Amino acid sequence: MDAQFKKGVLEMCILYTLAKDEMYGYEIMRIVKNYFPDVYDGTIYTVLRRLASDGYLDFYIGETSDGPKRKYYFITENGNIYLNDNIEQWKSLCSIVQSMGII
Amino acid sequence: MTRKEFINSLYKELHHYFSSKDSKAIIMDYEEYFDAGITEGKSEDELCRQCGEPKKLAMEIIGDTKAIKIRKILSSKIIKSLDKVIYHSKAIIYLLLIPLLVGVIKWFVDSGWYYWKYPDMLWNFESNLVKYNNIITEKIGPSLAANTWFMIFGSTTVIMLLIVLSLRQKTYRYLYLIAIFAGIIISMNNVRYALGQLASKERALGLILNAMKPFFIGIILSAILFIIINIRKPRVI
Repeated sequence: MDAQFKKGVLEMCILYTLAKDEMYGYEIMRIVKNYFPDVYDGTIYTVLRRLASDGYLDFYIGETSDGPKRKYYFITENGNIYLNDNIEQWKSLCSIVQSMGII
Repeated sequence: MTRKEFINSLYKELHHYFSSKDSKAIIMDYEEYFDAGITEGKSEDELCRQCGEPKKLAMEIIGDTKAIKIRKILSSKIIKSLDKVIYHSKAIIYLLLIPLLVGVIKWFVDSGWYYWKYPDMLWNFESNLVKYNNIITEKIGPSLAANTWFMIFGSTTVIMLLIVLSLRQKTYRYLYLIAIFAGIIISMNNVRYALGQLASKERALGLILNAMKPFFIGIILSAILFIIINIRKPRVI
């Protein structure tokens, strides 16, 4: 799959997951790996980092039961807007491809 | 690969671009990853393999930063405008003619024609000092210099035109000529300096020929390039 294309879908996947609930990095990665088994774990973290630096996500440091602190990610207002934009674009792309008879 | 090896390798790559502080902050995510993975029961080796190659990950992270993004946008904008200038603008051809124009103007201003009226002035300089009056001998120097400047500026224009036109026509068949004109520029510059020493030398010929060496080298180089370019099948770039 084309890298740029894939990154876009990865972003959407992560944002959609976080729109439903806040999670820590490893949890998010596990969910994403369900849909993208071939993607490197590390890449998911780089996408998380980018989404956070773009302001679509934010995080707080939380405690865990057995000691080490963890980043808990949550979606921001801008993130929601960005996610909905992306979903609309995908919907229109899909209907175009469908109407061409390709899928 | 062990966790420690992975983390160290990733840190090293990140540190090429980020500060220690920022690199450590980025690393923390991956420490978290290993912590959680090990809790789940996975081995360090398995986690390292699934995480990806440290070098590639570092490049992804670095490439995501705003500075790199801005640099990419800027450089593509620069490339686009360079492209426009080189391939499409008519004005650039006229611009490239400016050095030639400067050379012509300077030639007239410094009486470049003077030297050609008294061409034998250059050889046997000292005996000529007696033959010609002072005004003439004084004017010969600048006049000769003006001629060399004309050659220098003219050759600059020729070289630049050769490059631009070759790029536009997408052919490098004539680029070997650049060697000749580069040789001319260097030689004429040497001649200019040599002129300054004329008064103290008896025969100018040897001095001038020495100064012209780059020109002869340019011709030889040019011939070599011509042969190299033409023994292969002609090909557009």
